[in-house]
Amino acid sequence: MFAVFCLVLTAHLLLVSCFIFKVPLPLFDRVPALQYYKSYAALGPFFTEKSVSWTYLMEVSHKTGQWSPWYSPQLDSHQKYLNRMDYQQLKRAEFEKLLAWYALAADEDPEIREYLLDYLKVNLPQDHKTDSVRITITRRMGNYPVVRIDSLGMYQYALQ
Amino acid sequence: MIWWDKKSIEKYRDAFFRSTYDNRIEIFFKGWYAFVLVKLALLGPLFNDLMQFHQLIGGSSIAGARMLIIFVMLLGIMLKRNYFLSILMFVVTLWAHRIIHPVVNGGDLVVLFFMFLGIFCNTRPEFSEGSSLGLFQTALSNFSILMGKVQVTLIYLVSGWDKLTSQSWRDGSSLFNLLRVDYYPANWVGYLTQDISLNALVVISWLVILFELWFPLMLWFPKWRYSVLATGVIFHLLIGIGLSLPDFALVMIWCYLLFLDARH
Repeated sequence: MFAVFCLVLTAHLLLVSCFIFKVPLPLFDRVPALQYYKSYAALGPFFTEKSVSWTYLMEVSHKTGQWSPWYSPQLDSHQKYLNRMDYQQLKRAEFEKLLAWYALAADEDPEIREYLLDYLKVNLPQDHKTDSVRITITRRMGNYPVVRIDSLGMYQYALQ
Repeated sequence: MIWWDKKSIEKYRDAFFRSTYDNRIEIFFKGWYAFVLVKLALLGPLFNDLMQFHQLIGGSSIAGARMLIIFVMLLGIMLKRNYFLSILMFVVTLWAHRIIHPVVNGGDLVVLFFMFLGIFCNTRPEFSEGSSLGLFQTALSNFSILMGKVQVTLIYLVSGWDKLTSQSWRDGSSLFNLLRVDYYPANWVGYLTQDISLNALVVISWLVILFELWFPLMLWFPKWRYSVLATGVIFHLLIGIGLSLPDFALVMIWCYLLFLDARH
């Protein structure tokens, strides 16, 4: 019995090492029970850049009177929420900040980024809307991430 | 001395089957029940927002569920733990997580993890202690406690490693962003850090990274354990007060109970 427990512990530590060093283990991304195991075995990391950006989104949308399930990284919740959100209520600066932080979060999730860009093509607030818009997101030290929206022919997403 | 020689392995094995039922474990898990209870009770001001969120994703009313969960947690605190109660508490905590999902933080995930571990961790023998089942129960319970300790150390190690491999943590910009999100820093921290230099941010970021990598390793040396735990308490109090995350701080500090000697 002792040997079995030792084996279980060793296997667990080996798996956690694989998760930490991002060794591809597709089964753990596909089977729901194993997904849970993966997320709780390598619990944390906390205070990642992504989690900070989620929090900022929650904060901005909460301040504007709209609760944001963006805090949870689930795309279906994002879509439902995006469809309901009235960007007209946001001041331009707030909108730009929101976009910048959202882009930081989306940077790690291509699915969210794609959805966001498609969404913006049709739902940009009136004062930002032109026939063609370019969005450039610049991340820099000493300031908030800055988003620039220009009329330059196409949507372009870039993190510099 | 080599820790994996025959004598040492026998020592570990004997310890593994030695009965360690004591009040410390009972208090440890009841602490989690109390935490869930207090958190749900204190979420009152946010509840309208949470209900709005649930309506948005097609959920039903959650006010009744909240009261029920608070009641069950109260019951858990008052009754003596056994397998049935531990499973019930885990399921109910899972339910609570679904309700507070939009405001769940890392601390809540740790609580859920320990609620699961609690299913296998007994505070009194359910079977005759000399029997095979009794022996298995003791071993499983001891193993769960060991897993709890391993996971606590892994939390730091995984966080430290993630920060070490993140460019924005190494150059201080993550910390900069963290301090600029109104949601996190307390007013006085925001005031103190509004003109903080980049160099200071880099130093603080590296101190955090080094702490998160150093702490889980030193925790396993009995000689250093108490001073390391004291450093951990200070670290979490600073996060708890400075970043307005008292619940996360409480959860992590409560986890340290696992590392205390029963005599203390």
